[in-house]
Amino acid sequence: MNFKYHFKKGGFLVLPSAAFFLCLSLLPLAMLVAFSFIKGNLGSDGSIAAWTVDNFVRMFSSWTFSKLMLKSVGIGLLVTLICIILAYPAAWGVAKIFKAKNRNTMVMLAIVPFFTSQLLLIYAMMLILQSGGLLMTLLGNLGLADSSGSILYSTPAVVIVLVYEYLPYMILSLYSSLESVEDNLIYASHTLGAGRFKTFINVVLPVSFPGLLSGIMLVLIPSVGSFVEPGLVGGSDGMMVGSLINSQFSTVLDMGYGSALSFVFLIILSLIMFIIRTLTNRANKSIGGIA
Amino acid sequence: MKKVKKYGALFLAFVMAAVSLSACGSSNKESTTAATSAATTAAASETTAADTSADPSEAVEDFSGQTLVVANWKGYGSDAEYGAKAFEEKYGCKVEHQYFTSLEEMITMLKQGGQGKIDVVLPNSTYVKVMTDQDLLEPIDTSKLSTFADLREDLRDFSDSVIDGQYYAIPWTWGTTSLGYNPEAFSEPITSWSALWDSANKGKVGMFDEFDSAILTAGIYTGQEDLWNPNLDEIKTALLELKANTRTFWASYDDFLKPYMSGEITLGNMWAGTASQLLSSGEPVEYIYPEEGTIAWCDFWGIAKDAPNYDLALKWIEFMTDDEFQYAFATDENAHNPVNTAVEASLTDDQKKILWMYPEGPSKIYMQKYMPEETRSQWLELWNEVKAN
Repeated sequence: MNFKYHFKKGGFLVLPSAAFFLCLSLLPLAMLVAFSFIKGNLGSDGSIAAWTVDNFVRMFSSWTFSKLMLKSVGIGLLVTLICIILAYPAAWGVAKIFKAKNRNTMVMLAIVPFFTSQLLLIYAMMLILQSGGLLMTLLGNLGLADSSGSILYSTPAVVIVLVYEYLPYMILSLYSSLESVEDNLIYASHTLGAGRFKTFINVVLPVSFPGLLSGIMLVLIPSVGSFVEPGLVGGSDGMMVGSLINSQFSTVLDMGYGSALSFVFLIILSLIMFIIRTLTNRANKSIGGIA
Repeated sequence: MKKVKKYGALFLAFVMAAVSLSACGSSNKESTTAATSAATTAAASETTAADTSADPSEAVEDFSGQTLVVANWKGYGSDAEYGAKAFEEKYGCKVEHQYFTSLEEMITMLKQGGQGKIDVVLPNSTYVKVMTDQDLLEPIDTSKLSTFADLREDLRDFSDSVIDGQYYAIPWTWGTTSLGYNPEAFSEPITSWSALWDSANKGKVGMFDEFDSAILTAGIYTGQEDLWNPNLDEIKTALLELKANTRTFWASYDDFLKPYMSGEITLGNMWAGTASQLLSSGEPVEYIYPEEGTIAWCDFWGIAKDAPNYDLALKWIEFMTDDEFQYAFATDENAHNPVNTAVEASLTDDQKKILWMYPEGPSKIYMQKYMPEETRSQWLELWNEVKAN
């Protein structure tokens, strides 16, 4: 009886967001899955040539997709790892070390890259990294490297640019959960004899897991699917799986194959996220955190 | 405060109503003045047309009252002063433009109500067959085109535009995707595509990230008999070797300019327009046509099926390919290659240099043509495999 009453009272208010979610999330997803079974492209009048599983057969008949997927996931994981290592100290600093009145300014500074378009960020990085640019001239003057060469147009360059672009996401996610670490908990842990490292592992880390997980999701998924960065700074060996999918939609107009690639990409990434989440939950339990 | 708000809102509403009414009013005025000016120019041109026509024995026909509908890219010559306006004055008609932003859009425009309304269209060499296959073009009565004999033969007789001896498309302007290099980085001028594969140039090549020009270039280099039906294994080996020499792929002008300026790439394939842009940015560049051959594209004028003004459309095509227009087109700030051989010969050395036609243009061109969807997918797959390797 109670349940029915609550539903009647406010249930219909959910409808707008539910409709939004349905039309903008679930329907397109369903269309993507449906399109992965069509042959070729939709006709200009919306007609479908044929239904087929050929797209999936084609995907795995050559090693291109699998190789690229592996490479992209590898790059994505590397980028995420570097972001985590760099973001933890930064987020901790903003959350705990800086005085409360400076905290907002610090958060603003971390968000500044968001005010600029993604392309501009990449070009700015290219200017710094290119031959004869800031970095190379410095290294040349220090005698560490030849200033006419550069690290651009290679996979390390892609990693650097991706880290630069996605670090703010990680910092903000970690900051939001590190902020909730009570100072008393840390004092208590010190009082009970735990050193700084042990405090970090057993007190801070478990509390920050939710932020860590959302940070990983915000960094890993776009990095794996990125195609603008490898296109601009990846060089001849830098191609990632995003470029493959993009070329199906923009160059050849083969919607069926492109959707099939996207669908499998979606499945693989969901699996990876599931694995990461399970691992962090396990780690959480073993350290003794709040499950 | 309430009163201020009330009167403020009323005032705003009044201003908005006044503005929208005045807009209606002025557009009416505009159309009436346009009509009267058209009538006067038509009347004026009737008398002057007879005087200014080049051949006094052939009076310029009067097409007053007719409107020619032209489908083209925006800002691409036909809507220039020396284009549509000059044509309107010559024939006493009106010219209306319908712009498209992609060739697919051009075809959609025709199929969704454009047929029977649009007179002339501008397909690219890769789309002529697409249009003829879908019966979207009328055969062109070339006996009525006085400029027909002046056209470059290799462009005029393009395989896709001639079906059973009937011409369905007339060339208008063309360009090439050829080899550009930094003359300061090389002691000797480059003359062959093999420079891209030369191990001395390892890590110095910038390749255009477009699968068809990449495969066609590799086809020219490996000497394939039929560029559009090449031995894909040979192509793949050649492309993999080329990739080892390539520093980066470029997709837009800026992608090429950056590493070129810093000296990281010294040669690559590019459009003539890219080379011109590099020059105007102050970078030294030589754009050459390798001895093995060059890939070319061409824009063609075609008369749409069921065109309402067929004769006027023929006059348009003649106008677009005659000496006056082609010369203006070749010498304006965005120089375009003329298809009219008389105009080509009349250009000064400096003008030819701007068009990269000095001392002469390419000797052997391979015109990009229609490719069926399966071939396109196959080639893209090959290119992706090469890039992913």
